[in-house]
Amino acid sequence: MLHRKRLMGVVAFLILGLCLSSVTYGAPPIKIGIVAPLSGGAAMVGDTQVKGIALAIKQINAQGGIHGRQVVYYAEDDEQIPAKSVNAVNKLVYQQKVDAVIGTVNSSCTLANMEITKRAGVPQITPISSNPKITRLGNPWIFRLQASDDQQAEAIVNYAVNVLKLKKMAIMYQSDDYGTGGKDVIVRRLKELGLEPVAVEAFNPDAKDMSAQILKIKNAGADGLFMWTMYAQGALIARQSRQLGLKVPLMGGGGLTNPKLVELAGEAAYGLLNTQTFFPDPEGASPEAKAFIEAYKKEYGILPDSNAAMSYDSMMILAEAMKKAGPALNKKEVRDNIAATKNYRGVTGVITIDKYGDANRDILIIRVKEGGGYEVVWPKH
Amino acid sequence: MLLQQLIQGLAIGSVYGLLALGYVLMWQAWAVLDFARGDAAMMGAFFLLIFNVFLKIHILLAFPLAIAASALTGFIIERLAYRPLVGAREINRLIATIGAGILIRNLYRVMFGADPFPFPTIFGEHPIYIKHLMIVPQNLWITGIGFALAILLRLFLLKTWRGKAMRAAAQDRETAALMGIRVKNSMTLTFVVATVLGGIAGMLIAPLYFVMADMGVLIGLKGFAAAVLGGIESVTGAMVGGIILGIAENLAGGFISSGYQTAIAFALMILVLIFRPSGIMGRRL
Repeated sequence: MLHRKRLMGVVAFLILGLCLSSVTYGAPPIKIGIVAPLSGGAAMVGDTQVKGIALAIKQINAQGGIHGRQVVYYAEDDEQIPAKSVNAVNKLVYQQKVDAVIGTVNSSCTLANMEITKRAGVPQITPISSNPKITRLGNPWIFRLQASDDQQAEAIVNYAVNVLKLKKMAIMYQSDDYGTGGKDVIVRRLKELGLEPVAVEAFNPDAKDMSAQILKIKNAGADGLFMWTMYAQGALIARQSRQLGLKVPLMGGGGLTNPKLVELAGEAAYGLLNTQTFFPDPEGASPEAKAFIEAYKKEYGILPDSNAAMSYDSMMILAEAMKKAGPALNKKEVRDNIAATKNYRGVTGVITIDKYGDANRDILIIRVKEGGGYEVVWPKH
Repeated sequence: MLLQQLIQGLAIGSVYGLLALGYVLMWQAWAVLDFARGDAAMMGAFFLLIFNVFLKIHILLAFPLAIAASALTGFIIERLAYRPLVGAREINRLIATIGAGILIRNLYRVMFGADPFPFPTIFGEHPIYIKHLMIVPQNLWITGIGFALAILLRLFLLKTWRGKAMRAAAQDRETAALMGIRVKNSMTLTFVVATVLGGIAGMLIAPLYFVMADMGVLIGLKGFAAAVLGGIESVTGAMVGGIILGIAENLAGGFISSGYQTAIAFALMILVLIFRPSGIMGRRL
């Protein structure tokens, strides 16, 4: 008697389980692969990338998913090492069999891992890798949402020349792919505007003493200084320029945006100008951006950074492309739909994908306020 | 412009000199090229950061505290990583110093993260103008303290009994031991002194270059180049080597090309190794 009861219970449980599983697995979920630095020096950036995508997926699923299917993601760590990044994407594409890949942060890593998705024919979007080469190698499967260094460098030069009316600008750049790439565009853009930099100075990416370069720039009579580097070196340059009496506007790219910049350089950083594509300021934000900032804050208790916003938009653009493709989710069709993205109103602005796979977008110029914090100075509202 | 670049070179050069002194001391007493010198500078800077910024102790008290902490860590590291290998082959000891450096650096990265910490200006960073010449008080202090320490060290080695014992033990361990010198104690003392000198170098540059776990790597290598330049056997040479290196770097950056600034420092070192292997101030071999 007891045995039979127990047996019945087991059978009932099994049937229940079957029913449940048929509900869950009736339509298999759409799989998104995320490759990001989740450990090591850039772990913070990888973390906000995953957060941005996860928030987008949560919202998509809450509205019934894509073609009635739920979306899930698998995140793989690449530690910002190109070889590991390739392994991570291999795993996503061949083991998890994902429908699309989003990532990664480091440009060298994206350049390496995009070969895998190309060979397998899987659409890939990198939210923030900014090296211009990524979209210029003729790989049709890779897209980028961040403004490339080309676009950013052009924007800041335009601002310096057209708005600040500077004439004798100098350039300091770190002697690696990122720095020299930015420097080349600045020189080219200045030339197009009929100007010649008065000094072009390199420094080692881990250099600390910039006084030789700064003195040279000061002596050349510069009225503005572009620096193509990350925030820590940017803080060093800001501080040492002020110390050595070089008091001209300091300008640069998105790599400079970081609260640490002001913390490190103090007053010397006030007034520093740099390009940015997203800025978590609910007051000056578009309705889309405002909704995103609020949702993100509610979900994670912190303000989103530009990387989270780029990642969120990457997932949303991917979802749009998948919705337009048939329920079979042919990867080629999804790719073509991403490529055809036009005037998409994302949280990082209005996005149109150009023939290279780059997002054509507005670029903001932000300024470090006196006392810290940022304000948007371009475009003017 | 030339004079200005020279002044800037002098300040960073005396920091290189302080690190070079560490290399010279370690070479003399331990017969090892100690590649953890740069990390001693990093630790010194972190101690000052902890005492002065985190614990808000006045700088005049924080300095001696940080020096004492540097000495203590020097002592502990010597016991753990250097002492056990006294009798080992040279190459093993060399590798041990590199290993100790990597371990210390990553330990600090785990504890404090990879981001740099700001450090308040101690000596004033607003330049004083003498006609067109600009002098940053901070740089004046760095140069002054650097030279003062080098002179003190020289006096200590030449005039005091302890210093003489250290030199004797460095020259010939066995004979020194026969003369009643405690060779091992003497070696420990040398290590502690070298660590403190490195630590002070780190404290001096903290306000200029921020404090982070990686800060010692490049500066340590420059200290090594300075030691080779001046002569790895000479205390005076280390300081001279540091100054020459600092000035050469700044002149190279200012007048040749900033892209080759670091390369020039090491090219100078290679040239000295080829044409005068014992260094500028070293005795001819």
